[in-house]
This record gives sequence, C-alpha cells and structure tokens, in this order.
Amino acid sequence: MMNGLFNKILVYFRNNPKAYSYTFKMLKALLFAFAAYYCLIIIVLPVMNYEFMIPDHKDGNPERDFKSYDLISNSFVESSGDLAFREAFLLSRLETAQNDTMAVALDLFDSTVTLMIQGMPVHTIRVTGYEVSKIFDKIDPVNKAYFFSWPFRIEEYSSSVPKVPVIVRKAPGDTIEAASLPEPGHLEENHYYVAFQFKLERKLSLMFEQDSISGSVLKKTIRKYRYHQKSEKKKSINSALIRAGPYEYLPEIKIKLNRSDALVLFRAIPDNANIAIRISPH
Amino acid sequence: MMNRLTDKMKIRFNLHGIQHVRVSHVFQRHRFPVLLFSLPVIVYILYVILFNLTPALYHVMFHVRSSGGKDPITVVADDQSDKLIKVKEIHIKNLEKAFGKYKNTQPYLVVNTTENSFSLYNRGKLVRAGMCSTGSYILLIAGDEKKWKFETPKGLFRIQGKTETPVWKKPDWAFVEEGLPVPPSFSHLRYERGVLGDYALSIGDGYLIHGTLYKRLLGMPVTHGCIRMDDEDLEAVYHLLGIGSKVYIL
Repeated sequence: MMNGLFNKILVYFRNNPKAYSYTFKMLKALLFAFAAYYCLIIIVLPVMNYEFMIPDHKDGNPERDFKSYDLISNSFVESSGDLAFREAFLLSRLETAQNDTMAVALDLFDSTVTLMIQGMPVHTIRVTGYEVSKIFDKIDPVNKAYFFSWPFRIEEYSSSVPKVPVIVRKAPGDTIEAASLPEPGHLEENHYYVAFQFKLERKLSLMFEQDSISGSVLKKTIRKYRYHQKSEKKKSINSALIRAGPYEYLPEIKIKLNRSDALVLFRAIPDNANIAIRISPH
Repeated sequence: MMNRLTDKMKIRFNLHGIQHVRVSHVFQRHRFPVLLFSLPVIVYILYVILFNLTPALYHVMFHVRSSGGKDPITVVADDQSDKLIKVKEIHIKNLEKAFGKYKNTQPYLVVNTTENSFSLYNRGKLVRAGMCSTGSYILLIAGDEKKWKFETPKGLFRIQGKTETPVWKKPDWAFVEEGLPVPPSFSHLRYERGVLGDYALSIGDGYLIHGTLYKRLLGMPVTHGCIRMDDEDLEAVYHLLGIGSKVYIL
C-alpha cells in the first residue's frame, strides 16, 4: 500500500514540476519553522519570562528588618562586597530555624552545606565544587540578595538512590528458617552512584552529585539516573511543544560533594525541608 | 544507467583538478518523495539535536526581568553608603546574636544514621566520637499481615529516662523474627537480662540508646530502630547526658 502511495506521489510530481518545487520549499520551510518554534517555546520565551519570585514581605517574619533593605541601592550592594548577601543568608537561616524539622544551609561563599535542626547546626559538609546558572548574573545585586533572603522549600525530588533503603523480609515460619536468614547490616548500595535533584519553590533547581566516579560505581546506575533525568525533561518539553504553552525554565545550582557526604545529606533531609542559600555576589 | 548519471552530474573544476562532484541531482526527481517519507525521521533528528543543545542555548539566553515589576527596593544616593554599611553591620550583628540563641551550650548527642556514627558534645565542643549501630531498614512482614519497619527515627529528641543494668522486654517482632510463637504480654519469656548492656537511655516511643553484645556489628545498620553503642561510649554518653538533654538524629 505504501509502495502504491509512493508511486502515485512520484507520478504526480513528475507531471507537475511546479508543484514539486513549491512543496519541496514548503517542507524545507516547515523544518526551519519547527526549529524556530522549538527555540521560541523552549528557550527564548521561558528565559525571557523568567521572574525571580520574591515573596511579599508583609507575609514574612515580622522580626525581619525591612527598613535596612528599603534603603539600599545596587551600587551600595556592589561596593559593600558580601555584606548584603551575608545579611540575606542570616535572615534566611533564621527563618528556617523557626521550623521543627531539619533544614539545610548551603553556603557557596564558604563552600559548606550545614544540616540544622531547629537552627542548631548538627553536621557540616564540605562542597568540593559547584556551578550556578549564568542567569543569576543578570539579576541586579539588590534583588539577588533579596531573592536569597528567604529559604526555599523543597517541592519535589528525584534521586539515583532510594531515600529509605527498605529491605522487605517475610517472617520466618520456624527457628530453622530464621537461622538460615542472612544477617542484616549490608545495604549493598556501595556501588550506587549518588545524585539527587530538588525542585525548590520559587522556581529553582538544586542538584547534588558525588564528585568522583570510582571504578566500583556501577555505570548502569549512572546511566539509569541520567536517562531518568532526560526522559523527565523530554516529557515536559514535549508537553510544552504540543500545547504551545510556556516551558518551565528552572535556573540550576549544581553542587559536588564527597559520595558519603552526599548520601548523608540526602538521607537526612526531610521531603519538605527548607533550604537557605548564600551565593557569591559576583 | 551510467549515461544518466553522467548527464546529471555537476562536476566542478579548479586549478588543482576535480574538486567536488555532486551526484545528488541524479536523484532530484525522487528527492521529494524520499524527503516526505523520511520527514518524521528528519524532524526527530532535529528534535534530538535541539534537545541536546538546550542547556547550551540557555547559557546564551539569560535576559531576566526582576520581581515582576513590583520592585520593593528604593534606590538612594551613593553618598549615604558609609552610613548604610554601618547600619548593615549592626543589623548583621543583631542577626548573629539572634541566631546564637539556637546554639546548644548544653551536652548533646548527634547520631548519623547513614554512617552509623555518633558525636558527643559538651559546651559546643566535641568530646567523643565513634561508631554505633542504627536501624536496619528491614520491613518485616508477618503471615497475618502485621508489619514492622526497623528504622531509627530522625530529628530532635530528648532524653526521657535513664536506666542502669536495663532489662529488655521483648516486643512481638522479636519473637516473629526468630520464628517463635508470640507469648502473652505478661509472660516471663519476654524479659531478657544483659542484652542491652550496662545502661539504657530512652528517647521516647520505645526507642533506646543502649549497649550491645554484637560489637562486631557496630558501624552497620543492624538494629530494630534503637541506637547501639560500645560499652565505653555508652558510659560516657550516660554520664554526660541528663534527662532533657538533646539527641539530634540525622
């Protein structure tokens, strides 16, 4: 059937050379149009329309000293070095301290990640490397400090390792069966590649990855995680292309940690934890 | 066939001889149907290229609007900078002071359930650190659909009770796990001496910090949710922490 259709089209265009050239041009234009449409929907519009969402300060903590913010200018923030960002980070950390749950303070200026419970720092991890989306360079310094003066709540997460490494075991029928069961203690996850990503409120993406991949790490765990990340991204890109709606662009902060530290951090953070972030002013 | 090919070939010459031979015109008549049928493939290849280029393109495109036009910041003249720096410094000091009240100056214990380690602090200084054992993450399912999850809870806890030479009252899961029939709650079979070490500190909900007979398993996730420690570490913890002392489990 396909062959018949092919031949019919072939014959039609042999007899109508003008139609052939016209349709051929149309097809080429269509491909260009698709590329342009993709760039517009997925890249240009989302980045153009991206807004650094700053919460309404009236809903915030009344203890915040907004007067000091109302007075500062961009030139002041630039000339005062890290002062405004230190203040913003402290404000953000104080906000996280109000909650009973565990919170995280990510200080890219000092290259540390601190786990806190009710404001009390209980575990500090060294950041071995990080990358920040260039989009942060474009926001003016005052708004950047202001943006980071509130903590970010985790909305969603995805990871290469399970959050709770549950081992399901059926109760043994008798003592002989019980004696034959393996001893607990080996979670058998030493070969997992550790990477996780948090989608934070106010449109921000925070990614953590182990800094080096040793020979013992199973390559398939890396491939599996990266494939999952890609397919999730493809899904949202496809849906944006189909509905011609705006794609949700999220600026990224990528953090590299030691493998064991990354695992400690991931397992300790509750699902809806608050994260205070301090990024470099420049 | 050869004649047809030669007729349609475009051969370009330069000083050095034949530079480029285009044979595509041979198939010009067939190009459109071929293109038509391979269009989905071409679109898909284009899509894959664009998809992989997307992160790079984002780096190129980073024009931003800030705070949706509702800029809460008032811009002031630069000559006020010195004054403002002082205002900011005072504010930062006040914030650090406010933050200081959350720091614990009392003795406290931090337990890391991922690394199965503990750190004991007094007046903010580390006084002892070592290995411990925490929950095994085993989900035990009994035949009658009863379930127990052996996980150490995370968060902030307080020492609620301290016992010397504790006696373990075995819960139902201890019998189910060993394939034994569960005795009544008042049965003498439920009481076992010596297995919890010399001391036990309760952190609530039946969870204890206690000693162990299985010292070779320290540093591994093997418990039913309690925190097991070596005898000497347990003694230090027992003597330093009082009722109400904080235990941070992460």
